[in-house]
Amino acid sequence: MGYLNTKGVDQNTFDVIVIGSGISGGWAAKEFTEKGLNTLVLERGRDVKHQKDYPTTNKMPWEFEHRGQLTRQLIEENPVVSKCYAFREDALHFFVKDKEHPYVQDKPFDWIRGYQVGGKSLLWARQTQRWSEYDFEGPARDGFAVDWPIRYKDLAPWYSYVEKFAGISGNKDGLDILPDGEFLPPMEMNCVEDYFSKKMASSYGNRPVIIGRAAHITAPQQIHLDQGRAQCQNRNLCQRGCPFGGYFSSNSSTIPWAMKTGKLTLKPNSVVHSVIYDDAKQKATGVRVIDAVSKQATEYFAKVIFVNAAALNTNLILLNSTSSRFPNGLGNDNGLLGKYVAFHNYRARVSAVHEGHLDKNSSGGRRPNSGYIPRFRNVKKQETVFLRGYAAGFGASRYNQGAEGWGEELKKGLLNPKPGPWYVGSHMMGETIPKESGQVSLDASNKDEWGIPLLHVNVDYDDNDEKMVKDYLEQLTEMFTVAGFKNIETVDSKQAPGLDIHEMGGVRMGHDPKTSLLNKWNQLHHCKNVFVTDGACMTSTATQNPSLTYMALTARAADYAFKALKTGDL
Amino acid sequence: MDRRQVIRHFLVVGAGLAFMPSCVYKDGKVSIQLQSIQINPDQESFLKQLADAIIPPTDTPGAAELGSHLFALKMVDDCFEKQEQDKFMTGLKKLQGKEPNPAALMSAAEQEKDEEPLAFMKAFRRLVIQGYTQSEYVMTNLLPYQLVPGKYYGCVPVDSTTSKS
Repeated sequence: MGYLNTKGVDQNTFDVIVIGSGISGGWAAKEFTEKGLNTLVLERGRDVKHQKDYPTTNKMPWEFEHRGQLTRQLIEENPVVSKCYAFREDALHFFVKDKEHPYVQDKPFDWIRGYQVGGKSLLWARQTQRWSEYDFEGPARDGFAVDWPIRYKDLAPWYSYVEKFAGISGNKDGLDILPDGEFLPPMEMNCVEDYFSKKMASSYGNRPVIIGRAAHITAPQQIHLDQGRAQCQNRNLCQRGCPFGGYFSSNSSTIPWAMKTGKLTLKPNSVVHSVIYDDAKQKATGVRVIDAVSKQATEYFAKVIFVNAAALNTNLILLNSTSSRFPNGLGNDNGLLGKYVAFHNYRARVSAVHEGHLDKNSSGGRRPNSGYIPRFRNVKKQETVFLRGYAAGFGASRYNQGAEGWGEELKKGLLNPKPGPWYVGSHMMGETIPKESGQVSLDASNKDEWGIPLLHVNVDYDDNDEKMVKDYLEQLTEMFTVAGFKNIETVDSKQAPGLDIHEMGGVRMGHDPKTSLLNKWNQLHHCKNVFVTDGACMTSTATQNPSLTYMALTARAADYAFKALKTGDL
Repeated sequence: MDRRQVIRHFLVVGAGLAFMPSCVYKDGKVSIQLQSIQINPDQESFLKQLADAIIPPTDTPGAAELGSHLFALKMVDDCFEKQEQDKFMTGLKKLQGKEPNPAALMSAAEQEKDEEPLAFMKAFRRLVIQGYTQSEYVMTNLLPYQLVPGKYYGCVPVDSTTSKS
């Protein structure tokens, strides 16, 4: 480690430090700067400015040397990240390459990361489903993990708050398992998705198929125009960064919004080594940062610190934040820091052919969304041999038939494409049960280039997950059969945890400091001016794509922290 | 200018440039730099003729003019596994010098159950089609690609659908 720059403590002092500029860090930055607090956002990666730093966003398909495909060399050099569906020729620059940031897989774990301003908010799948009361009460009802210290009613107003700003399209479906939000107009289902939805409604009653609620502006409101964002153009090239700001990202939305207040200091290339704890003051006083390029160490100070480094890196930072008071990591009196890490089970898929509706097709844009089947298993009571359940994606589409023959016949066929049959597909999004054995920890001796210990990841499926995969495949096969779909095929990819990119937990919320790390306001029980509001705080995983919940938790915690600062409680 | 003139002008200026380094058309050299596989001018010439036989020039350019055979080589070189590359090259070597008639070459390979020529023909057909349909020319003039499509229509009669590329 380089020498320590202790000069200019004042100029390195802020009201709030936010570690990370991804989806939750961006929200923390927006909230605090809007409230007038001097806020420092530390981002370990490079800066990515909206529009300006989206180098591929307006490229045409033929401008990509391999038409989007990964080269053999890229796959060989990146066995982990190359498995990610969005790691393609047009978005390589937004992903961490395997060699750049090694970690230790005690069990196979595909850790997908985006180190830049905006983090993975540039790359996410933009599905934004609210949690329901059934999700928050899950651990208490079913006797796993610990009870959530909050309920749906605590978060509902904050869901509304973030939805209005972010811009969430969706249909008011009136489902208690998936509460409605502040929706912009829904995207359309296509004919076969609509057919399947109606067929399931008449056949089951409790298996709704809806259009996904997605963070896309389908009808811009003033608040979106004020952000400089415009309507989604159905390009479906989101992973390149959207020049319209059609989908929500830190880069298009919260970061520039915070910047406009004049209260934001954004420091890219700032790798947080640890949070500094002052034994005398009995609170955290700042963070130690290693410059990503020069490797020089600097300290920054603030009254409040939000840790939003993304689930596993937030664990890493806290584990590495040792002091005489906290020899095992900040706030870690109970030894549970880094434990009860869970994820979403994305292993199973079902596909089939639909022979009907050949006179119909979709047209125009490439809809960046699909259908969604909320959890229908064990919703109101336990009814299967496994705990909890799964949501599922559902989509239908027609592809052009391959052209036959050779020569002029082939050419004519290629230039006059005919749509083939409808293909339908679904993938599972299973809740996994957090277990003490699912954990991350620091390597005792090996460090990265910045002097930070390598992270061990030790997370795996269990018997509950296996049973759930089996049930999903059976149930979706049955539903597809009921719908009259043909050539039904089932796949269990056996993919490792991590590829879902929904890793959660390790710094879980709970009522009791003996069994959890964070209280109901996302404060460390034992170090009240440090908050964690990214995936690390999650007590359980539910089945919903989690980003919207992180946004709501962040805005709620920032509001609490601001008020506590005003009253002198922090 | 009529449409064909525009197209021709456009081709001279733009299409395929990316695939044609300065050494193109010089005697004894190939038109593309490759890393893993090696081809000679005769093989390139064969591939070019074969590409045009697969998608011939009509009132619009054929696959060769759009550089599809070079695109195919680029993909084999950069994206194929070693084993697939070897099959492709062995297949190419077995077929070069024959008449570049894809239908005849394919049915002969099928009848003789000759693995490498069959693999070569399937791969080359697929890549020539990809190179052609995803060329700037085709995606601009024949099946226009909409970078900013705007509205999505979920359910419309097939007759009114535009092609999705």
